[in-house]
Amino acid sequence: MNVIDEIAVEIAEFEANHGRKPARMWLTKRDKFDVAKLNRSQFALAGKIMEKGVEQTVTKLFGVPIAAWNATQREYRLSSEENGVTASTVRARIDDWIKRLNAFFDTLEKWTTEVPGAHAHRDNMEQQVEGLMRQFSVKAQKVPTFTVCLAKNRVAFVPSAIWISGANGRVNVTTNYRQYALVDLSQFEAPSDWKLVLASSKTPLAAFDKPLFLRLLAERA
Amino acid sequence: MINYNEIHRAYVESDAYLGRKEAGARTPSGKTRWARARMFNDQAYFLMLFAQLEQRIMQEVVKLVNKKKVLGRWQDRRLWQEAKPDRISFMQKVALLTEKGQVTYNRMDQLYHDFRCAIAHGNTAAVGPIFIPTIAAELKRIAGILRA
Repeated sequence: MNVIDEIAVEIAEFEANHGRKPARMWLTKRDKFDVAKLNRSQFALAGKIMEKGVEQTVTKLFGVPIAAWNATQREYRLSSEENGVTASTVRARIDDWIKRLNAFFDTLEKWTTEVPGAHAHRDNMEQQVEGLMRQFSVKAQKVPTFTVCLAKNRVAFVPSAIWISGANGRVNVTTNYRQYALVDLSQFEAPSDWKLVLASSKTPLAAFDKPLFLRLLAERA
Repeated sequence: MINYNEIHRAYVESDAYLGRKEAGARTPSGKTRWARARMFNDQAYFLMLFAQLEQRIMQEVVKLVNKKKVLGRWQDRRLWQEAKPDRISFMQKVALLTEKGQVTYNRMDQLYHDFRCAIAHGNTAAVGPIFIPTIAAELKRIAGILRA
């Protein structure tokens, strides 16, 4: 069995497992070298390889584009392009993010009015350009920020990133003394589930409720 | 998974440091630079946790092969006698511990190819930031499922 046969078997196996061919494959340097070692029945390929090169011939043969030739072992996978991501879905995600942030800051503002002497300040800033925005040429929008002050204490909520694996967006929470990450663990288009990341092993993620908000506001060094 | 709590604490500390830098940056390019540093930090922690899971899977596969090698009937043990766990690919090892095509296998396939390999091959931008507490909890849960 030469490299062409091996790749054919592996692609068939991938198709059996996933119900479709891989979108891209990663091959090794050795594979590129071994493509030249064809058997008798594949001899016609040699001409094509000479004419069009290994890359184009192998891609056409299997219908799977080659992502790279420097993998440590052969890999096949489904690419993000097939997950239905388009410029409009990226824009929709940003709109949803802004909506969720505004709803969250409305709640914080309500909690702030219930604290004597505390005052809230809402502003906005240009969002950070993330990978998918760059990929689909989607412009950065203004995202809301929220700051609350009580005497000398100040807590700022500044959106950080939307696309973060394992969460549906992250907000930087800066107090006078510490820095926290606040994440929304909800699924896309589901109600928000804000959690504050703590260094505690007992409660690594704390639900962001009014007592926790008040604790941040009263935080000391 | 070894020392999950210690890793979590170290992650929170390092992420908070980079988060403070990101929040304090005065220019958009400064913010982007620190956000990238934060992303690399996420990915480094992911690789460390995943490497521990790989080690755990290897141990379970060795355990399985050793168990099967000593089966009473030769017909049952013949396929296992020549099995060399260090010579089979990672996803083949996973397939020895959980059924191919099922939820755990598919998720491992995704975590391995779309995260671990993408990061290891320098395709870090495609992976982006990773929220380690969620992913670590998931890896821990998977480690409990993948048994000999």
